[in-house]
Amino acid sequence: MIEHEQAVAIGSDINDVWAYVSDMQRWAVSVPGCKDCDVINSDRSIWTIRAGAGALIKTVKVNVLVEEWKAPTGVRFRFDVANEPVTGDGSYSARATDSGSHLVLVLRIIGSGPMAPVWETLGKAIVPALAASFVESLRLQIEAEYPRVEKASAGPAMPCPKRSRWQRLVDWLRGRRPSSKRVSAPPAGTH
Amino acid sequence: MTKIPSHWHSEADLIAVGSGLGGLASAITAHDHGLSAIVLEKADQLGGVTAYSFGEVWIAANHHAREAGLEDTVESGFRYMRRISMGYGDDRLILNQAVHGPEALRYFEENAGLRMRIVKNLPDYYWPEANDGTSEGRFLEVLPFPAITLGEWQEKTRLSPHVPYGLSHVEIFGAGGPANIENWDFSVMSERMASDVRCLGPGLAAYFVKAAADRGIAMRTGVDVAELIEDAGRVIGVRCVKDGADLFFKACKGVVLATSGYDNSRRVAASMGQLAAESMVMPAIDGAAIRLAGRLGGRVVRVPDVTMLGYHVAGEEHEGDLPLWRNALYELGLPHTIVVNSSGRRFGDESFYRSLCFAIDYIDGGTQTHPNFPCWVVFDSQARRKYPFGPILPGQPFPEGIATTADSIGELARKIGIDASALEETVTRFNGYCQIGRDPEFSRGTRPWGAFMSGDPANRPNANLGPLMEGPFYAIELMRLGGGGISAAGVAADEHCRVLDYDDRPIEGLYVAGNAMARLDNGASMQSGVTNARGMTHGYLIGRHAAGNPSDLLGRAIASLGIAG
Repeated sequence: MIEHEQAVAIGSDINDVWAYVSDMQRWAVSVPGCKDCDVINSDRSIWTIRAGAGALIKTVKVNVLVEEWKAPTGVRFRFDVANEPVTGDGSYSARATDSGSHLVLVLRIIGSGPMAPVWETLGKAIVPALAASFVESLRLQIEAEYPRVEKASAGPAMPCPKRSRWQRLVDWLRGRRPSSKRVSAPPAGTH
Repeated sequence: MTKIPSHWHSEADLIAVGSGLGGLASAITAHDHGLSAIVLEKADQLGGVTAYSFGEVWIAANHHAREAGLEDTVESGFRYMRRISMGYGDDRLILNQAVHGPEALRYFEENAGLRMRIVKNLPDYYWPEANDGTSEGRFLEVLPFPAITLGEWQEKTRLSPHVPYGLSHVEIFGAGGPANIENWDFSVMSERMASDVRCLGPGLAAYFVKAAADRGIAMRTGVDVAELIEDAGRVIGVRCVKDGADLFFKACKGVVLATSGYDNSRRVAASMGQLAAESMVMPAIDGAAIRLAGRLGGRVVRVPDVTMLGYHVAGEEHEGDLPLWRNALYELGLPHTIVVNSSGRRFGDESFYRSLCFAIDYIDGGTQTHPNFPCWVVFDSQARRKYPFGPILPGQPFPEGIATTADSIGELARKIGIDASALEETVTRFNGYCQIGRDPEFSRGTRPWGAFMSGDPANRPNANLGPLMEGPFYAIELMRLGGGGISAAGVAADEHCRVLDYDDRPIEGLYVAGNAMARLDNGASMQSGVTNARGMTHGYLIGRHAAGNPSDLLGRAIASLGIAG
């Protein structure tokens, strides 16, 4: 078995983060190599992922089952790779911080059968980079959609934080005006 | 024709086009004989088809065999190859390879850090029926290579999507071969993968990249040689394209075309009289040598050759996002497995691809059809339970779309659209052969190479014979594949690997190596490991000739053997 943990600080409110991550379809943008995410129901989804190992590039289907939604702080899930002797599980946990949110993703991969050592070696080589890429992309996506809004203070009115060109572009693409809502939007609820 | 440029971007005595064994060995030998060399590679990684291969090197009368007490001679190796070339080769060139193969091997081991060993118990294809075949000693493989020593070239040196490069032949076949994959030592494989220790083709290529890098030989990737530049009948350089811009490289002593075959050019294949086939190799293998030499009058020669048979597992790709086509060499000869045509009949010895593949291209002139193509591999649940099918492990479910399944042979035949009663009869007859341990139709199971490479040594009474009895049954349609860089046609060359024109005159300053060279040194035959041996040997000969120190061994051998020079 291999286990990998990846943490990231996100400059968005924890409830906004939850609003984003509780929609499985939206993870697909950030999962490296993800070609498709077919949401079967609120707990089940099938991910089509294209990944390279050595000179071989392989597209696999990963069946994901979310076992627990605990808004806005946690998700537990397990998965198996279709037609391959690979299973695993993982978790998402979040906590609010002064600057936004702190996320920790944990992924465990279990290879079975005689080739288990090979699967795990491949996993060790690939997963850390993939996880780092994933959380960084997730952070950018969430921060672009849910920029942190400073709390009002007794002092003089603070100007709105200046949005990056990238954030403005994402807003424009989404047909959304910058900032305004979702300061403390309630979570989508427990699924 | 491009005019001589007013400015050369770079200059060397020898420019090797292609970075498989032929290109790298040329550059290394040239360097060691006092020349400067540059290697230009079209792809983004070095190693070419060599790195995609199983890494076998077939050399008769090599010093490892001699040290192991295995009797062999250059003359015997020559006679063996001449016998199986069937008159389609050139005796001088067959002898040239036989004489220089052992020399080149010794040269690179003594001078370039290459470390090889015999693959024990691996016989020649045609042992014992061909005189001068041997039961072992001619197949060599590299010792595991620590790729971390490649430094900056580690990531730029190819791996293979086809071979389990974390294990060696000795380890794979010592554990029962591909049929017994569950007995392989995957802990060793995973340790080697983790530390990037390479065996097989990737290991072989890595040794030569390392030798070139250690010599400071410039190796440039992503450089497409578009044209040869000639002056007064002599090749003096190349025009390349790099990132869309032209670059001109001057070659003071010569240019080596080491660009392999033409698997990815259906246009070149068609012009050589070959049917469209899928490719197992990288996009760069597109017939560049034929195109480049052809413009200068380089002669193209074709020998009889087979298209391979293979399959594609949905979702598998390799360089260039190309679908990965896998050679079915190992799978077809396993027990409980047969190959049939659309009439439901077997048509060759499934344990020996040469038998099967020549039959695919057979044309029935009476009906103007290929009676043996399309074709299917058919197997039962015993095979599925016991053996891998390529990357699909025993018992592992088949990915969607690759196989047709049915509970009976008749139903399977109907599903794939072939004659059901004929297939049932074929299976019944084959099962009878399995009971007696003998195949009177195609002699399957009598060839030691087939048992070694495509059989289950634990299966009794015969490594290649086992009945199809247990449903569900499976069928997979097999497709024509190119030879993995080993193409039927190539550029003709003399004993120093100088390209010849249609009047048999050398084109000054132009050499050809490896699979790019016409296979007149093996004619209608093929032997695993011959192509890697050719690349290494051609490189050795080219480096020496370009440096003004050509080998004279052929002349001496001709004199001693009494062959017409």
